[in-house]
Amino acid sequence: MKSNNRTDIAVVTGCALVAVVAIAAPLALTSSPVRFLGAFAGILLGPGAIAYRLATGRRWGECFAIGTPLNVAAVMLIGVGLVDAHFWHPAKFELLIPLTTFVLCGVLLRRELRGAPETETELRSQAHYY
Amino acid sequence: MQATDLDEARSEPRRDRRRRAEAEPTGGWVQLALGLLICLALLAVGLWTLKHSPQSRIGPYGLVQALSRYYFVVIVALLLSLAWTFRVRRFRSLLLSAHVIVLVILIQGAPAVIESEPRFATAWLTAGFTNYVEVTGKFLPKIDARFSWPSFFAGSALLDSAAGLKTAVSLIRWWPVVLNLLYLPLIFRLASALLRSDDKAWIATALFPLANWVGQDYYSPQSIAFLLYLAFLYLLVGPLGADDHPLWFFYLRSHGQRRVLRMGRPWLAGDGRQLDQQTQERSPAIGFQLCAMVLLMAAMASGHQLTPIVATGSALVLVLVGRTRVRWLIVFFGLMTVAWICYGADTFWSGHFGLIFGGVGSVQGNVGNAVIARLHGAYAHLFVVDTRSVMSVLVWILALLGALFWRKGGADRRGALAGFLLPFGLLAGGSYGGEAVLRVYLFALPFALCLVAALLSQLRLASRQVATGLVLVLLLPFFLVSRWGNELFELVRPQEISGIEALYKMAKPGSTLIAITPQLPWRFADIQEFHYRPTPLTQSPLELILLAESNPKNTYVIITTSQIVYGWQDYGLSRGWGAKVESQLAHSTYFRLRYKNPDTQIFQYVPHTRSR
Repeated sequence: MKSNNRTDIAVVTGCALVAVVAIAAPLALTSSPVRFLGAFAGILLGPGAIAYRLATGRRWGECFAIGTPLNVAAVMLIGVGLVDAHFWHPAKFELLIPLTTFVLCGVLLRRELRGAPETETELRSQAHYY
Repeated sequence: MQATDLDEARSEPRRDRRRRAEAEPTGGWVQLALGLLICLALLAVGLWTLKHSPQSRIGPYGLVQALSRYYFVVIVALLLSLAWTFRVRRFRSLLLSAHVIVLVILIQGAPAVIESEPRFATAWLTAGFTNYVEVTGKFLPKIDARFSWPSFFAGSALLDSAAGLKTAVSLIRWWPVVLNLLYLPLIFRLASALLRSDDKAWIATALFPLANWVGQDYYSPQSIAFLLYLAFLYLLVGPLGADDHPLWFFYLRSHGQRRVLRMGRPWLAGDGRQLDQQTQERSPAIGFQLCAMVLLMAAMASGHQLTPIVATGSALVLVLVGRTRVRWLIVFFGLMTVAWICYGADTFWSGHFGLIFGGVGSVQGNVGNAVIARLHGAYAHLFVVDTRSVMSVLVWILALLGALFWRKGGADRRGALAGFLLPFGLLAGGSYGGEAVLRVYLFALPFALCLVAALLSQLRLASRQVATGLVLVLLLPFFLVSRWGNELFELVRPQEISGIEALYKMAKPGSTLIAITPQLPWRFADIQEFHYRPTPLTQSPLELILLAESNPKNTYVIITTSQIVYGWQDYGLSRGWGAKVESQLAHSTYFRLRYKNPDTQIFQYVPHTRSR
């Protein structure tokens, strides 16, 4: 799949924008709906879906369905790790997640994936069994 | 693949559907616009009716007594429109998604609109735990067992911090709606993988919001753990799925050839039938999916007591029935679960062996704790419990019928049936605080709905639509009573929050705070500052005096309307029992009334010098 596919570009651009908001808002704003939405959307719709897309080339619907729980799991484990390492306060480690989103968006835009989504759809309709 | 399989697997291939739809381009767009307009209109009217459903009318039968009659009209119209949408050819997924989203908002979000404060005392407590982690960066496993599985609190605290929230209480109100919306795509994916058909999967997805009455989707570790569980299951049976013979088949075959169980290979270990194109992926995809499962299991193992055990058990039975390619990795999943319990949750188990293992093997005792022990209280409460039982049994019977009438057997049916039956094994493991049956229902629900969808799919399209519509409409009253039947004591009254905030202001750090029943939305702030003594049920001032003597200088007793209603409804006490306790405390020389509002009274213990 060439990543200049329109859907890919639209999704990746959206994710990257939300990731930027998620990174910038906590640094710039004390408390606001923008920061709230940016943080939740930027972290929950973050790198999991894009990494899943990069690794498997599956449809975006499935990527987000699986990616969101992956992001949630990552946030939970980062949180436990920070507390257990007594490293809770010094830095905003949660911002690593939107930062990763941003990086993965760049990778996805540049990288050629094998098999276009249309081809995948065609194959699914012909052989949707296990 | 044979043509008959194709017909069975999907009533109409996507490509043909698209071609037919393209032949009538305007019709599809008109239907889309009309469908979306209907959804929007029903959402707007539904929210309006909820806004005009007064909280004061919530009665012993719960929220259903407060709902405007127009609300029922809106929901029935939505369900019928949803059933009708199954016939639409173009933009069907979009339209069905819109309907299901509106359904979730209107039925799961009803109390969020009607009630003035976010509901459910335990959610407030969970918010308190999150706030503590956010402020201090520490856990308190010695104060509460839930801190032995702390990753939910830590993750939520991280998010709250990033979002600039002052308290996690802000998340409680709409949490169930958001979580149910997150469950839906995974339910659809799981059903699609097991039923081999998007059409059938949509039936399971549409049923889920109305069948999910157990109320474990409030702000809590288990709500998130269930999301991870669904993703874990989907990876097992979807991308890493198989259509193999049951595992025992390999050992029972007589030709003597040794079979090797493989993992993560595009061909099955058994008779060499190929997987489809989706599963013949390159190794990075499989590697990523396996890593994703490990990540999900790690978060589950550190986030909730029960979910990782059920997830590992589900993986095991799916291996046994030949429905997944993930095989030896489940040993690792089991080890992760055990390792966390041994090392991460040592504070919990190292003094509670009896609590953990006391119920193992005692199915009768555990069922008794979970079902029979709940069969007490006021008549209205018993009606709610009965409705829950009937609804659960109804879903289970439909699921068993679905398994029985599944047209083609194979690993799909075995997988769905095994996944459905496995959670019942929890009943042998313990009572889980009397909630074992609730958990059984919840964990079995995704598979049960697949089986119900399989049953409904046996019908022709028109009959299927009618049957689906009927089941949806039939489930509605059951859902409203089961889900929101205890609302009279589960709702949080604004005056109660004012009272608890006043208590926190007047009580010095180190004070003992006593509640006469556990139904109280407290501990949402400063959980480490006070000693909390929620009692199962205390009616006698003498018991309160005995409790207060452990800290005679600073002990407070709080009595709220929710606690009194809880005693009346759940324990079958008289309606006036709370007023009687309040009166006894007010006239006692051991207690002094310190605060009063219409829903809260706070008494301070007055120590007496005993003559020797």
